[in-house]
Order: sequence, then structure tokens, then C-alpha cells
Amino acid sequence: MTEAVPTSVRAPGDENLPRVRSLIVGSRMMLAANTTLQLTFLFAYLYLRANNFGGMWRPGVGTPAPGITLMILLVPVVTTLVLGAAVGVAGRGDRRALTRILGPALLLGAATIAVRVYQLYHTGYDLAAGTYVDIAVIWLAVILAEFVLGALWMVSIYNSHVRQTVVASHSHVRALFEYWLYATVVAVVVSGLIQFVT
Amino acid sequence: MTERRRRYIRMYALVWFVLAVAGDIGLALGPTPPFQASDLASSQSTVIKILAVIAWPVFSAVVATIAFTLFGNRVAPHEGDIDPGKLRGDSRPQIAWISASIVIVLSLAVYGTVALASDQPGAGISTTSASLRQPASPSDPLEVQVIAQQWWFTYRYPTYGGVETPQLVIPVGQKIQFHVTSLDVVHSFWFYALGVKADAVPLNDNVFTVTPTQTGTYRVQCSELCGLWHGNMNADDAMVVSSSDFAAWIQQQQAMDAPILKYLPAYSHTYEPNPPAYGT
Amino acid sequence: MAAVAVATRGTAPPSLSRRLHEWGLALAVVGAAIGFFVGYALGSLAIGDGDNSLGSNAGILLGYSLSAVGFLAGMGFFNYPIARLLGRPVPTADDEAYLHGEGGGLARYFRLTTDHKVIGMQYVVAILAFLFVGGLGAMFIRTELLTPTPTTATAESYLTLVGLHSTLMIFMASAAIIGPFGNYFVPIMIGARNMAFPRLEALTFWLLPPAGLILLSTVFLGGFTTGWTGYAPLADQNVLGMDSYLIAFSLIGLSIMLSGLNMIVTVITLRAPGMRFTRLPIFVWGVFLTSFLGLLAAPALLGAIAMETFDRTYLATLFVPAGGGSPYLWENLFWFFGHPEVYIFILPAFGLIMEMLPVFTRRPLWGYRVAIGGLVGVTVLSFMVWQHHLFVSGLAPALRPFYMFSTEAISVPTGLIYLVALGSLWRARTRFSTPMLFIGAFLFNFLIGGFTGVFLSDVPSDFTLHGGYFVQAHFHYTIMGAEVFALMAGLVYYLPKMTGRTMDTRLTRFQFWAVFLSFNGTFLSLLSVGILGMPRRVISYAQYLQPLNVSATVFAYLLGGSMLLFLGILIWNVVIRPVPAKENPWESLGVEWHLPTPTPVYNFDTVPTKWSLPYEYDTGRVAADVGHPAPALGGATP
Repeated sequence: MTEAVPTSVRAPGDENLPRVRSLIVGSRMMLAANTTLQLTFLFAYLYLRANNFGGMWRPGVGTPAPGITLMILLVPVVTTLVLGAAVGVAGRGDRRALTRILGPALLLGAATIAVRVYQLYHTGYDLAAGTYVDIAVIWLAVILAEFVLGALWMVSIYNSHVRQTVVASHSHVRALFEYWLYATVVAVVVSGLIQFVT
Repeated sequence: MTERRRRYIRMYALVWFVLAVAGDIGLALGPTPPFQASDLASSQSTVIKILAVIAWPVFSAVVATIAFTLFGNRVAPHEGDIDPGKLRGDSRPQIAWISASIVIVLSLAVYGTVALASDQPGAGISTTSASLRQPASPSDPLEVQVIAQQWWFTYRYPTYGGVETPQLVIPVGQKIQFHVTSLDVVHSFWFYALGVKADAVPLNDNVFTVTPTQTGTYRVQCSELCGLWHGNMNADDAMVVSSSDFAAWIQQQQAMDAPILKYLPAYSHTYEPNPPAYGT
Repeated sequence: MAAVAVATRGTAPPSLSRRLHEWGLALAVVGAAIGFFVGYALGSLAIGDGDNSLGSNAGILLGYSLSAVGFLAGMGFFNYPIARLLGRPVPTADDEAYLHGEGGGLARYFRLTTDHKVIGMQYVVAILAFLFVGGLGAMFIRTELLTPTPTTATAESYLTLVGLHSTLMIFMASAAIIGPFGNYFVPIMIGARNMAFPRLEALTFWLLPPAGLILLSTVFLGGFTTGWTGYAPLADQNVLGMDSYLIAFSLIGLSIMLSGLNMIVTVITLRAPGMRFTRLPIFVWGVFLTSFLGLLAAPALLGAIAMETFDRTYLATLFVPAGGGSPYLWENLFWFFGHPEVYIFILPAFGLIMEMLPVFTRRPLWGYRVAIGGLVGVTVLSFMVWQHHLFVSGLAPALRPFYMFSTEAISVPTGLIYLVALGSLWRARTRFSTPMLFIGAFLFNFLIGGFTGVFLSDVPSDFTLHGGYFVQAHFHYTIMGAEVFALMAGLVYYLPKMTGRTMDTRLTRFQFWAVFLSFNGTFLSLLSVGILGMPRRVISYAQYLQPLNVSATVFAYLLGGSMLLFLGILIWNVVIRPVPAKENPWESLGVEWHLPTPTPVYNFDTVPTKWSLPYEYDTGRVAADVGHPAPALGGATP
């Protein structure tokens, strides 16, 4: 509104510490919000399944070959383990080691997305057919989107780290690890639910 | 505490007392919607009356306190009149307030639950379909299916050969069991005078039991937004009639249908809102 | 991490990115247009046949989503994430200062600015815009209801008006207190220089304009007939206008959620040294707890809307009984969000009212901890009551006693707020400044809102009151009578700080009585109409209800007029003929009033480390020593 605003000092450097804490607290709050979203889908899935209105419950999800199922479940888990190792490395402040471990993590992240996309298409979901998706497919798509976000986060940490614009700090990597761990647990649980509660 | 202040508080208590008593007498003696056209309506109007009688003194106490504290500043405090020990909260009024509100809430909840249990108006999802037996006595319910659709209610009388009418007619003094369902979107069947309100949800049989106690012509309307003509989904021709009039009316409806039914295949006496299985 | 240094702004010509940033709003419009057409094309293609209605549904949904993305891209919201993604250098201190709007000037209000005070002011404008456009809808609705049969509107336009009025007002109410006052004052009150995530904060504001415009665009797409609750399967049946509602509401849901996240993190991590949780001003508590509601409830709405979009495009039939879905699913998910949502409206208003009370009673807030207890109680219980919206739905009758009890139980913590208010007022020499009038009206109106709620929480009486005008008047008492009154109180109270200008006292007092009386006239009429059996959202009603409806309409016109008067006074005294405000006109002890006006860009020269509650009117101690010469206070009892 006013033209001349008195300028006090610049935001001083003493705010670095709260910023690091903000990142961790913020990402955990995001996981809390995410939990509501997952519970929304869980409720919808179980509600529709339990009531089976008009006898029209459609499980809709086929069973892929065991090897592929194993891949779908294992790849994100392995990614989580690698990221967990990265947290330890970042905690030691070893920059080169962190670069070496973030690369494979990134590849595994890409692989995760690949297997999740495969799973989604295997459910009978067909973009071109444009008809009859069920709750499981929407749910899997939401989880896929979360993995994509996680992978983008990984890319940004990796790129900034490799190009040395922002050295990946311990808390950065830890927030990412927590996020990925959360998404993986959700993905595994949901996959199991969809396979067994049909 | 000065004498003036004491007088002021006495006045405040008096004003509140008069307000509370006068209001409560008015509420207790005055007519309370939805009035007395059925057992359910009278019990609802009793519940509303009791809630209002409980609520009014509390309401007027808070309003009086706000008013007197706001305007009391012109009378009461002198320098040093404020008791500094009580500026930041005093545990006694807190405990009193919390206990009082918990007691009120608990008694309201218990009373509401008891009233709900004694009325048993809405049984929700029913697993059995309407029976085909005609009521032998007034305590034996006459079942009426209310089938809502955009934007009309249709009534089906399973016990009378499944005759279906666009007008609701029910006998007075007879226990009526409404089975409310819908063919398309969510509607709500509101028979205001009888105190009946039940959402009509497709696939669901919402049961509502009521005994009308006064004959008359009433309004039924939809009370859940159901699309374009929701505002016009009402009828002023719902009738509560004597049982002999009802018998005559239902015979007339059956007679009207008879010539057509000869040429139609036999159909169900009830509309089954949730068929147990399609293709499973 | 680049070193943060004290640097002066260069005199070099602005770089390309800054020029683009300055034209952000224009670029945003272009981006929104491009996004819409790309999305529409993609959506229509995705379904296969762009001609059928599902194809156009997908087109509109994707078009609106991408137009929101395009809008934000044009504003410059993706510059930072994309730079991070590519690993490009982090913005310099100079860049951040520019983004913060350090140079001042009017232009920073029209572009992406990360200063929480600028965002607070932007919210003031947006909230008032939503309020008055929504209010216009109310005037049309009341005009139509002068007669028992349709006269001025068609059934279609009437329901679209109802939908627009309600949804716009819900958008307004979701941020009416938290947006303007939360953003502006929470960082100051806790001794922070800014929010924890300033870009995110700007995002929560800049989601509002696209949401409002997308919602309003429904009139070009046939409108929607579901009201703000969007009940399925009616929503599945609706024409393309429904898609506007879905996208607009999800943008608002996102805004509520992100704003909640930001506030929580800010309060947790950015409190100044010495600012303990037990010293947080009660308004910050209100905002903090509300933020949990927003953070944890809004995702349910987002999930439900995601399901509904699949229903409308890919025939998921999750809510359509004919396809194995259930309307109850939407009702549950929606109200799981919807009920905490109404406390998102009122909790910050409680906080604001309790924040202002001590200033006018000149006494400490009576029972600070009781007030926190009340706010916490309401927050926790509000997640456990949603099925009272479904008492007559025929769903799970066995659960009704529980939800009746939990709903009634919520009046205990709410009662604590009243206890604190009454305790603060008791024996106080209250100053009848204009905000205090609004505070009194708030207490009165919300009391009616609360007591009418008791009748609705009781199942047997709810059978007759549910879905009627009694409910409508009940929540107008809580939202309009309480929250909007708190908004007006807050504006009168805080505009001198936010703008350095003040609203005319005599006119505002007159306006207060006009709005208070006409509001109560309107909604007491509507309470009566409801208890006599008038359903909500109808265009025609029974003949015998006409006199009360006419009374409601006449009062509603007065109400609309007095609201317009408020806007007129505000615009006249703040924008057109500025009336300079005194420093600290209410003689508050709050730290925000002891900073210079206008508030410095980074709030504090040095962040104070000694804090106390800002209610110590018995000792006259200011909440924190902020180093600026604070205007003298008249002592404890001036």
C-alpha cells in the first residue's frame, strides 16, 4: 500500500538453523496430510468392498507373474535401503561418497516408476479405452504420482549436489528418505491389500 | 465489594431470573413445531420443547452476563476495585463451568438417546423386504414404500397388491412403516406434519415408523437438493384419513388398476431397492 | 549454501527474469489460456472421442487443471522448483530480497511476493472480493424467495446462484481470518521475520484467484445444481459446470492444506528465542490449531474430488449405485472434510476475538490456559462428529447415539471459550471502541449459532430440523454472524496497523448497528421459516411461509446495504481519502503494535529474546521490547 517502506536489515544468516528444521518438520507434516489421503482411499476401498453394492464390486486387478510382482514390491524397497545408506553417508559429510550413492538411488527411483507404471497398466487400466476404472486403479495412480514427486525430489538433490550449487545436507537426504520410506510402505501395503482383499 | 456493586449484581441476577422464568414458561406452554399430527411429531415437539427449556436459561444467562459486564463498567469498578488475584483465571468458576457444561451435555445426550430409542423412527438399512401381510391391528404396521425419483414421490402399498399411487393416503391411528428409497439421486422424504424425514438413497431401504394421530391434508416435500426441480418436488395432497376412508380409497385404486393389470405380466408387490446379487 | 550477505541493490538494469517477474500477472493470464487449451485438447483426446460428453468432461477438467498450472507458471512459481531440479545456483540474497518486495512500492502487491505482510494484504482484497461477489448471489436468492413461486430466476439459474453463493462463501470463510490476519500477524507475533516457506505462502494466496475465476466460469458451462456439498450421484449427472466446481474446490483444498502446513511449521520452528508455547498469543494458538485441521482434513476432500473426477470421465461409478458405487461414500468423505472445515472457519475467529478482548477490557486474558484447552478440545473433537450430517440418511443408525454425544460434547470446549470471554469481561472497564462492538456481537451471534446447534445435534429434533432453513440459519449465525463479524472487527482493529489508515469511527459505529440488527432480523426470520418446515435450496415454498420470507428478504437487503457501507467506508477512508491512523490507536500491548507503521520489511531490527504474553494490562508490560520507540501507553487503567 505504502510507497516508502523502511528497510531494516537483511534476513540474517542466523536463520539457517530454523530452515533446516523447517524442512524436516514440513516434510513430516506433509506425510501426516498424506496419511489422510491414503485413509480416504482405504476407506473408499473397504467400504465399497464390504458393501458390494448391487453385487457389482469389481476387483479389477489381475495377478501379474510372480517375478514381476516381486519386482514391483522389491524395487522401491531397495531404493529405500539405498537412500537409507545415503542418509548415513550424508551424516558423515562425505561429499564424494554421497555422489556415488545418490546416482544408483536415482536409477532405482526411475526403475520404481517404471514398475509402478507397469503395475498400473496391468490392472486393466487403458487410457484409450476410457471406461470403467475402479478405486484400486485410482489409488495406484495416486501412489505412482507420489513416487514421481519423490523421484523429482531425488533429481533435484542429485543435480544440485553434483553441480555443487547446493551440497546435499544430512537433513535434506533424511527428509527424502523418510518420504520415500513412507511411500514404499504405503505402496507395499496397498499392493498387498489389492491382491488379497479382492 | 461496594454496596453499589452488590446492588448491581442483585439486579443482574433478578433480570436474568425473570428472563429465564418468563421465557421458559412461554416455551413450555406455547405450541412447538412440528406440532401434534403424529406420535413422532409430538415426541419431537416435546424434545424440542425440553431442549429449549433447558437451553433458554443458559442462553439468557450468558447474554445477560455479556450485557451486564459490558455495561456494568459505568457502575461498578473504582480504582483498585479489580481484584488482581482473579485477573488471570480463577479455578473455582472454571471447575464449576466445566462440570456444569459436562453435566448438561451428558444429560442431553442421554435424554436424546433415550428419546431416540423409544421412538425407533429410522431403522436405516433394512435387510428384510416389506412384508405382504395386511395389518390386523393398529399396532401391526402398514407398510408403504416411498419411491423417490427426479422429481416426484411415488407410493406403493405392498400389502394391497403393490398398488402404486402418486398421492400419499394413510389411515389415522394406524402404525405406518415408510420404506424410503430412490431410483436416481439422493432425495429426502419430508412429511413435516408427521415429523418424518428420511433420506431416499438409491440401493437403500430407509425405514421410518410413525403413527398419525390427526386426519388432514398435508404437504410432503423433498428436503435434499436433488437437481433442477428440487424446489418443486412437493405435493400438498398427502392425506391422513379415517381407516374406513382409507379402505375405500385403496379399493378404488385397486379397481382403477385392475383393467390394466389383466394385460400385464405379474409384477412384484414391492420395489426391491437392493437386489442381493446381480450376476454374482 | 550461498552466503547470505548484506548487499545493496544494484543499479544495473533489471535482468530478464526480473522483467518477466514484474509482468507475472499478464504472463499468468497467457499461461492460463495456453494451459486451458492444451488441457482441453489432451483431455478430449484421452477419452478417445472428443465429441461425447465424457470427452468434454475430461477436456474441461484437464483444461482447468492445466490453466491453473499455467497461471502459476506465469506468476513464476515454477522458477524455483525447476532451477532446483536442474541443479542451478540458488537465488542470491539479492534475488531473495527482490522477491521479498524489499524496495516497497505498490507493484509488489500484484506479483509473486514472499513477504508475509504483502500476502496478508493480498488476502484482504481477495477475501473481500469473494465476500461481496458471494453476497451479491445472496441478494439474488433472497429476491427470488420474495414469492412462493419462481418469478425472477429459472430453476437452473437459481440453483447455480445457490451453488455459487455457497461455494464462494465457503472459499471466503476458509481463509477469512487466517488469510489476512494469520499471514500478516502470526510471524510478527512469534518474533519471526517471515514464514517458514515464503514461496508456499505466496502459492496459497495465488491459488485463490484461479479458483474463484474457475468457479465463476461455471455460468458459461451450464452451472451446477449441487450446492457446495456436491452430493453424488447428482454430481455425476450434472453438466460441464460441475467440473468448474470440482477443480475450483480442489484448488481451495490445496490452498487450505498448504497454508496449514506452512503455519504449523512456522509456529514450531520460527518462534523467537524465549517465545515458548506458553507465551504464544491466543490468536497464534487459534491459527496453529486450525492449521492442523486444514492439513489433516483437506486431503480427504482432495481424495474425494479425485474420485469424483474419475466418476465423471472414466465412469468409475464409485458414487453411482447403478454401477456398484454408493452415495454414502461421497457423503462420508465429504463430511469428514466438511466438518473440520467449519471449525477451520471459526477457530481463528475465536483466537482473534480473544486476542482483541484484553485490549478493550484493559485486563489480562482471563484463563489463557483454559482458552488453549478449549481450542484444543474443539480441534480434536471436530474430527469425530461428521456423521451428524447423516442422521437422517439411513446410514448406520447404531452409530447415531455416539455422534449425537460427540457433537454435544463439542459444546464443552466451545463453552470454555465463552468462559474466557466472560471472565475477561467480568468487572472490567470495557472500552467501547468499534472493534469491541463487533466482539460483543460476535459473542451474541455465535451463542445463537451454538444453541441452535444443540437442537441439530439431538437426533429426534434433528429429524424435523435437518435439511431445512433452521440449519441454514444456524450456520449463517456461525459463519456470517460470527466469522464475518470477527473479520469486520479485525479489519477495523488491524487496518491502522496494516495500512496506516483508519476507518471513520462514527460511520463504522452506525454501520455496526445496521449490520447487527439487519443480520439478526434476516436470520431470526430464517430460523423461524426453518422450524416451520421450509427445506433448503428450494425455489418455491409453501404459501404460509411467505410473510417470514418477505421479512427475511427485506432484512437481507438492509444487511447487504450495510455490508456495502462497510466496504464503502473502508475504500473511502483507506484508499481514496486516506485518514492517517494514530500509532497504536487501541493502546495494545501486542508486539505488532509496537513496530513502526508501516511494518519494516523484515519486521524486526533485532529479534527480541524476552517475551511475555501481550495481555499484561495490570503491569503495562509490552509483549517484547522491539527496540523501536514504542508509543507511550496510559498505564494499566488509563
